[in-house]
Amino acid sequence: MNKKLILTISIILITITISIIVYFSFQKPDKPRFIEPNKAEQTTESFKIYIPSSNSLISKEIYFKEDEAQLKNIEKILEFFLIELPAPFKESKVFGLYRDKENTIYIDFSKKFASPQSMREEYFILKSLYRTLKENFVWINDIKILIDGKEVETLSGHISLQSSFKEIMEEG
Amino acid sequence: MIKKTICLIFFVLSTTVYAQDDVLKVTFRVGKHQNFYRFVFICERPEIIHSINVNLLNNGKIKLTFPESFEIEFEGRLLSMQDRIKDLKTVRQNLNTFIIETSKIQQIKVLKYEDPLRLVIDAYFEEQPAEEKVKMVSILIDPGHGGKDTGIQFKDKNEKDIVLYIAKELASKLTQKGIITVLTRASDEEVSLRERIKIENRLKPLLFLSIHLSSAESFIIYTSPAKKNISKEKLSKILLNENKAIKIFINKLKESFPEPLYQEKLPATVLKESSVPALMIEIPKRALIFDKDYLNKITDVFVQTIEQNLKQKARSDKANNE
Repeated sequence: MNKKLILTISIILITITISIIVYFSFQKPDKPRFIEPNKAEQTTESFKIYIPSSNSLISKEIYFKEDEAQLKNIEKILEFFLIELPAPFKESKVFGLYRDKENTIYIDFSKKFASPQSMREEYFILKSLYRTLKENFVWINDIKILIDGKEVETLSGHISLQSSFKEIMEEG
Repeated sequence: MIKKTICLIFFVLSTTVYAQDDVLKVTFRVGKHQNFYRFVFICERPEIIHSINVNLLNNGKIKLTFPESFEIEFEGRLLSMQDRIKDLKTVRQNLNTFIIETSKIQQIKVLKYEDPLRLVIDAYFEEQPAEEKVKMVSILIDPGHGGKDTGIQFKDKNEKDIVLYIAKELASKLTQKGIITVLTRASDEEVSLRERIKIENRLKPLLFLSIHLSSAESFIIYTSPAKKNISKEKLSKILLNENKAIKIFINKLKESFPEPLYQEKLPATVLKESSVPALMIEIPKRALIFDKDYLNKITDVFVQTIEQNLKQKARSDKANNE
């Protein structure tokens, strides 16, 4: 009787231990997180985002596990980029991301991204977006901004988005 | 039969050559003096010179009617039916008439001289002093935003309304001074950046001034770091005039307002695609509270600045012409 009880308890304990080991070994983090550079895991890649700061741009390094699909990586970078922007731009959402055969990237933002702002603010938001994407993805040829799925002439009434984004930013 | 045909062809050709040689040739010379042009017509046949009819038309043009068809030679070339000589335009309505178009002629004196036989017309125009020439120029004022594009907002006030108010006041005050002023929009309507550029390219004003509000308590004067589709020669002139305008704006705004003033080069579309000197001025955001005294002070300073800029330009144009 005693032997049987000891055997049953042992089996239960072994089963619980195995379950715990299996559970923790298969669990993965579901969202990318900022990771300090010195603690970066081998599998993560570093990316640079540019953020407008009064009269210039400041850069920030971010780390996340690179996806094989480039558009997924752009999407992740845009998430980090938007969070760093001042209100109301930080509340903007990316509704869609497309790439055409000439490597032009179409980013469909929510309406908040076209909020009123001064000339300088508009210029530096566009410039920071351009540099963030161009420096991380050299294959990008040009960028087109859509608001709520539609092409717009300008974000805030100062800079036309109908000509090439590349031309506007590289001349400026 | 063959002989007859050859003779006929020869006869026709020889009469044509004869006819060509027979066309009356008149030599034309032009000289511009301080307040008159001197037009000289030289012809070897005295009866022609004596029978040329000269009329000053109501629109200030001079019409010459010759007794027969003629050709006009100017500096070794024959003038076409419509031609240009310096700042003059010449038109042949038919083979017997010759019209000279220039700045409005007020009075003419017609004289005939001999040796060589010539008809001299002194056409007087009113010489405008440099100050009055300001009246000939135009300013294109561009109130930013409009329609759905409100610009910066503060409570129930919108940038589009404030800049429209300033632009209208400015246009009215400049017009009173005799300066021709045009607005890219005169009501709360949506005018695209492309349309604003089209207006500017069509009117070719002496100065394009785009008015916006700053999101800070400062004045900011923008010019474009580059211009689109402008030749190098024209670009240097435009940049020179832009710099002159900026200097005057900076001086006037600094002496009239306590707010800080910045100057920056950024590629705003209306500046970058402008083919004339173009500035964008952002006004401190306190303008959004719609303090009329403050807004009127701004327009008064702008009027003084534009007036000074145009006078300076007229003087330098005059000096260049001399």
